[in-house]
Amino acid sequence: MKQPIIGFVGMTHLGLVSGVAASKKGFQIICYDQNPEIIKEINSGNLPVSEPLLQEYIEDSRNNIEFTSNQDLLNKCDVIYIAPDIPTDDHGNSSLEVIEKLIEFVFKLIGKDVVIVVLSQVPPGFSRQRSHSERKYYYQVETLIFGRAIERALNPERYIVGCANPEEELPEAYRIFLQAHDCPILKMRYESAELAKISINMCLVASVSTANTLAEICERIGADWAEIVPALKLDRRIGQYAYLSAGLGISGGNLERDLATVCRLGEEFGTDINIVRAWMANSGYRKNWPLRTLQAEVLKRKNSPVIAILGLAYKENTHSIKNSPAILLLESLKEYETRVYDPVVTSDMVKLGSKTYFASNVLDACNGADVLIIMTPWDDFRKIQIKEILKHLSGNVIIDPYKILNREDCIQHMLSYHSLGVT
Amino acid sequence: MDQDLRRVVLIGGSGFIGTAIEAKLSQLNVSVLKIGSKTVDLLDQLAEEKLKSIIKPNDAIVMLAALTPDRGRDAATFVKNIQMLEVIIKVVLDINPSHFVYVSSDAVYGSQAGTINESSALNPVDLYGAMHLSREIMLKKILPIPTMILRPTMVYGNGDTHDAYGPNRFLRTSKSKREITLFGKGEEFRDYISVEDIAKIVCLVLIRKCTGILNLATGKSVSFNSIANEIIRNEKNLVTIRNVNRINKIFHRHFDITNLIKLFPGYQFRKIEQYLGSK
Repeated sequence: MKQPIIGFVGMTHLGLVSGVAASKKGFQIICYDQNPEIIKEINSGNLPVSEPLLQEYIEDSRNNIEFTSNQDLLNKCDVIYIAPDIPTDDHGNSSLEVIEKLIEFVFKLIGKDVVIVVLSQVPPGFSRQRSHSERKYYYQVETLIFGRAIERALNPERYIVGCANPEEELPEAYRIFLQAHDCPILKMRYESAELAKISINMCLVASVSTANTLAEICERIGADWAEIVPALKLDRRIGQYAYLSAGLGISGGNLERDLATVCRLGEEFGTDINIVRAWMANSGYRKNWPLRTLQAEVLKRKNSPVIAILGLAYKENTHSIKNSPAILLLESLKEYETRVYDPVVTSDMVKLGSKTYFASNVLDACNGADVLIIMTPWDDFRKIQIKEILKHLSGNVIIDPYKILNREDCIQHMLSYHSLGVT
Repeated sequence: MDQDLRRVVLIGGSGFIGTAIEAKLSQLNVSVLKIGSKTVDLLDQLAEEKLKSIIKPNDAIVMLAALTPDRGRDAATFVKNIQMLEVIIKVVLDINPSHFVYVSSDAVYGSQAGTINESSALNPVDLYGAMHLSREIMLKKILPIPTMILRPTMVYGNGDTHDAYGPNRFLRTSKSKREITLFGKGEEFRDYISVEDIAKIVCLVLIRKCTGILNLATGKSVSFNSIANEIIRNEKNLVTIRNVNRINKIFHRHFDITNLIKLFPGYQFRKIEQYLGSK
């Protein structure tokens, strides 16, 4: 068979990144969105998301990728991925309206020989309800990581494919595309694939929650979590890629969605989900670590302090502020003068209080501040020179949960330095 | 000061906490009406009518009245306490005061170990805790009148008439007997909040017309042993510790006071060491 043409429908984060990564593998790609404005913006270089290498790869692949709102072009495709982002509310509940409409749209538009793959995350039971005996309909688990989405899409660890009947061969066009990525392809029934995605995330949450729980104990008993982590990573049962960095709870929306889904399933089917509720409570608790530290080190000691906050995104290399600890912190500091800066998040993306100044760079944010809080571990912040910020700060307190600055350097400069996982 | 806060009615205001709140409100030039059991006996048949003639719609009410465990731990005391709040609720529904503050207790959490916050499971282990929890549930009837439920943990300070195990008893026996009795080695951690802090926070709650549920704790727990040793240091080592067999299993209590910090960022609690040092 000639190289299949692959379509991606829905040009938000998942669809855009997946389409661009597929084009890098040399396939002819059609990226479709029903909204012509989104296509216009992408074609003029204004991408709706921030991901390392995304812009460059679009430029590199101009000859084999087409962004369009012309639905007729989808009829050229052998495989169509339906891949809009699934929005969630503050409690992690998914809104499936968008994906349902797109599936209906593609079913009506496309012939029965075309392979349809839903890439967006859907809850267990969703795919079986929409499958049709005359359709080649699959659910493929996405494991997108914000800030590393291109890298992950180009080098997947494995493909997890939910099928109506996993005993049957995958259609040739779909198989050719997946095999181009040189990784195991795990076929399973729809329900298993849907739960596999959630299972992966639950294991990540378990690791993160364990790390955060023990990091807090380290803070109280004089241990250093950073010294313990290498020992854990050398344990084969835990592994070198385990999520063991101490952090500020769970953010971004995806993990929260899966926590909410497991709770819903547990409530519906009467299974024990108390541990999941404990993870959620722990996340909420750890997210407020910066506020508690700020209270102890600054707010209790000084009236009307000026507070500099670096980083608003929930993690580095992303524009997303969904459930971001920085935003939560800002909401608690409305009565204080705050100076904030993020390399990607812009002032129009955040609801700012009247006392919040959106700085143009790191040093601008530090000007006159009594305390500096680094809320997102952006690489840019690792370049900060202590001597430079000292010229701009008024106070001497640094709250740096992720240890972006050099602890010893800070202490040498007589700064009161506070990070996660160590006293 | 909140424009609506014309007068604060302290029901059960003659006790340890009520007296401190009254003093603080007076400092802030807020008009206070203190209603103790001598003024209106909440168990009296005429209590409802009396209160209706006293309380005005612009008043803010702070409800402190309760028969504490030293007045009885039995079912009859429980029922009386419930009856007292039932009267208050009838009055509140009739008068519609501007704000209602109920001073509950951390006894609603029972003896669960670990770190407590406002979302922790409510699991009282005695009728006193069950009474406060029942009262909190009863208060749902008065919504949507702005209502705040405060759950103080162990309170210390001047004017404490109770003789509960803790700093005030330790201070008393260190003076009278030159001795402090500790169960076991006094290892248990507890969060102690000063009565002045309770009063200040109640005032802030009234001024800002806060609603919801808030634990009143400092977020910093200390062991009974460390309190005893602090007193001994202050007494120039002239007091001794007597260790006796503990009656109950050890459990520690800590509070996550993030919600309090969010409500009153920068709030500074009085340190228990300062209080002990002043005695």
